[in-house]
Amino acid sequence: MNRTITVRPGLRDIPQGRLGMWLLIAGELVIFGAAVVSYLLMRIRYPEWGEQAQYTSTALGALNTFVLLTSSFFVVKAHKASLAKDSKNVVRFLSLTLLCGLIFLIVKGIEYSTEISHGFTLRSPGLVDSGQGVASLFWMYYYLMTGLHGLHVLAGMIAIFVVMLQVRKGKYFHRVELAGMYWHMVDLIWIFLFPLLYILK
Amino acid sequence: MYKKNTDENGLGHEVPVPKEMDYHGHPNYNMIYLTLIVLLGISLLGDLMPAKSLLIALVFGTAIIKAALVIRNFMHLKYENLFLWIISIGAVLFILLAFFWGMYPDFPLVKLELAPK
Amino acid sequence: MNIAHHEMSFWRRYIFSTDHKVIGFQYLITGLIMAAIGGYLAYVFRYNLAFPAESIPLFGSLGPKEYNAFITSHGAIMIFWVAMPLLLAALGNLLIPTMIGTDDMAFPTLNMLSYWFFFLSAIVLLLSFFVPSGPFDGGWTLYPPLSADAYINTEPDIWKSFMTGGTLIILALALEFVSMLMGGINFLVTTINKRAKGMTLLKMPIVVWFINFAVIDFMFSVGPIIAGAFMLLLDRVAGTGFFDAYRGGDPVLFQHMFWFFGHPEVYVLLFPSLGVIAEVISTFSRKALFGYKFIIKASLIAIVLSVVVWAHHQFIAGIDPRMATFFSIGTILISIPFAGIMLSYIATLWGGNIQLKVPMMWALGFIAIFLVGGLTGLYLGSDTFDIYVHDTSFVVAHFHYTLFPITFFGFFAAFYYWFPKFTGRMYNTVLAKIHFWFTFIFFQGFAFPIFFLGLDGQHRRINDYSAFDSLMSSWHISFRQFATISAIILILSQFIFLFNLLKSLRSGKKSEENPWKANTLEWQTTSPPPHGNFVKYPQVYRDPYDYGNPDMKEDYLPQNKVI
Repeated sequence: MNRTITVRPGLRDIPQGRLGMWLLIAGELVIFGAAVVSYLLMRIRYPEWGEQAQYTSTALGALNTFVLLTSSFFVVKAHKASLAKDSKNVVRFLSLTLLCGLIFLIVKGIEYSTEISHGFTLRSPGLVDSGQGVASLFWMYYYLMTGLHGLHVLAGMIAIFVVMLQVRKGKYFHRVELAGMYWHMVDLIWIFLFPLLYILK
Repeated sequence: MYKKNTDENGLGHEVPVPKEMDYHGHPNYNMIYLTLIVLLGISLLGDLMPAKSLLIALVFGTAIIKAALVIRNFMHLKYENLFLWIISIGAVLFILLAFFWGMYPDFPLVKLELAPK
Repeated sequence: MNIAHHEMSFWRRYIFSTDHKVIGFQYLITGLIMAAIGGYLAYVFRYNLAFPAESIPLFGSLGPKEYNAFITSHGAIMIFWVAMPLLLAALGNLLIPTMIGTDDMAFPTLNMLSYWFFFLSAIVLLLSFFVPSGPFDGGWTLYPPLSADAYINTEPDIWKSFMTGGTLIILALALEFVSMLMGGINFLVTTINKRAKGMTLLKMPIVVWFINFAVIDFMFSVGPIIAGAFMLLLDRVAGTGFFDAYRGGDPVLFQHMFWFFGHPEVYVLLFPSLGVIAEVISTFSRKALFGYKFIIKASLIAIVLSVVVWAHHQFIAGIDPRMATFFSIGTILISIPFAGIMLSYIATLWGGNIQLKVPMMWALGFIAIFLVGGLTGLYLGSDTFDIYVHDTSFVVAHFHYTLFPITFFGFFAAFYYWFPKFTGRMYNTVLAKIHFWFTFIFFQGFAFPIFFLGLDGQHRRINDYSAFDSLMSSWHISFRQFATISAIILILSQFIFLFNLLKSLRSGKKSEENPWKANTLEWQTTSPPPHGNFVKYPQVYRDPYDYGNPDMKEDYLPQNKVI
């Protein structure tokens, strides 16, 4: 159990669940990456987006980063417990993960409602009418990327919930790792969205 | 612990080792979590940076280190076959760089003149 | 080894089946039905183009808007709902497990889900024919601002904008990509993880390699278009302005996102087809495939190159001229690996004991037609020439010379080659040969004249040239009519195929296990393969193309045969 592995496994030895999940993650990363790349290009093109980014709350963004990192930690703990077929601990850590996901979504909701109350919506008609059409594009990208990410958080939570129910019955322990990998991917994307949307002003 | 999923002739497929379980090693998760949180703290110190380029270097530097920690340890890529490295890191980065590079001259270098409504 | 599934109900067995062969047939049938729809659309607008004043038999009259809607739907259907399911999904599902010697896909349920997503996408697309505004008419490339629909932007009405052809086609495309992504992940995992004993990577048949290459190319290029489709949907439904220049968005961004996927998509279709041709040519030349490793390496190079050539579709979109030069060079470079692959195929024929059976005829026809398409691709890849012929019929002729052999010659080669295996019956060879000659000749008659019309400036999206005197000389008109009549005969000759298919399914004579005396694993089981494909899992000892071995009595040596 404690021996570190020096030999890399062969191509065929990768469990098919892990292999499939990695391929899915690669595909998802390209989808998100494409959105991020187009955001970056536009960000370089329009330096005035920096002003708009002032309105995103770094504190809430940092809180959300913290929450997601913590949830990733819980998932990996659950994975470790799943190896010992310790269904009680798995369920405990997975519910903590779900709690973190929920906190993330609530914080996101608070952010969204503040921004919407400032008039920054998907279309930001106020900005467009005052001749700041370019500024409204920033908010479109903001909602596109955080919204898409939020949907993935939701999907990950559903996956984790389903796996949790199965593990409670003592079945499919290996799925903890797979759902966990998906969750880590969600975390990974957020790690990059955080500086892009919240820190750089 | 890592068991090779083959029979004595080195041929796979017929020996159903419980593959999913205990396929890779485990790093010290607590330490990694701690590092991640510290890095998050560092990335928030951007306001102290004297220049914008330094700020960008700091935030993206920490983000990349965080991502690497998550991928290598939490997702256990550091114990994985090279193929998964190529697929999930190499190919994705290559694709995104190609995409960025092919579009770069068309967006940042071109000032858009707004059409009258 | 055989798990008894006989007690399954009809629905579980044939409709919501998780068996890879049933799913393969589902893809096949859906693809053929969509091909019939696409062919019908082609007939309608070709007829309109040749005889603009006349009413079209079996349809009625067609205006310019419907003409554009029909060519848009024809393009989208033929590429995404015919070529993708037939070449990638159906062939992948049928061939991968049988050729690598395993019982089923790695994730059977995901496989089923993938088909039903695909089915849903086809339904959503067909729905666009029944909404009030009709199917989308802005070209299959969905360029904004035509696709971002300016009216709906100002006052978004979600339901109203959902029920337009544009929204439905974008939605259908997104669903189709999701479906193919699921199927593709399944193919890759199956190939990597479930190969038979002794089946090392370099003992896999080329077609298995190539389907997986297609999947890899698809998986890594489809991200931008999924993101782009999502943005376009938001533009239409929620009134955002990602591609609205007034709000700082940029329509060229969508063009980049589309073609970043759209160009590799050509190779996604080409790879499975080329793989089929490799199998057929090697089998019917009774000779090992020339340069097996070279073919694999060349295709790897082609995959890498395929994601850095996309902007050659956008030379007149106002992209940076320096980049245009780069993309021209990249485009011409990518023809080198493919030329190498084609030369390997021709070298396989050299000195072989060629048997001109039906699949072989399709394979040779593929090579002949595809070479013309590839060579005109070189013209179009160079930006100087492309600017001149952009959006003319020259481009149309070029991509029909590439995509028609890829989709139909590749598919029919596969169909006539593996039909005895997967149905257990033999087709009528004479009818199949007539089908081949009609398709081959009338395809040329349809596509070749269009090159000249295009060089004279005939635009892709105009149906009536009576206002353009320079395009109304007698030879222009007769070329247009000649192309149309050929196209109609081409479409009609597919009924020979349909008749042959149905008749063989009903009363074809029983086929042997290995009618072509081929080496690969799928021929070493019964026809059709049982549930689970093999009664006893094969053990592989040698390369897939061991033909004409002088030490053996027969000229072939199956991969799993113990000497």
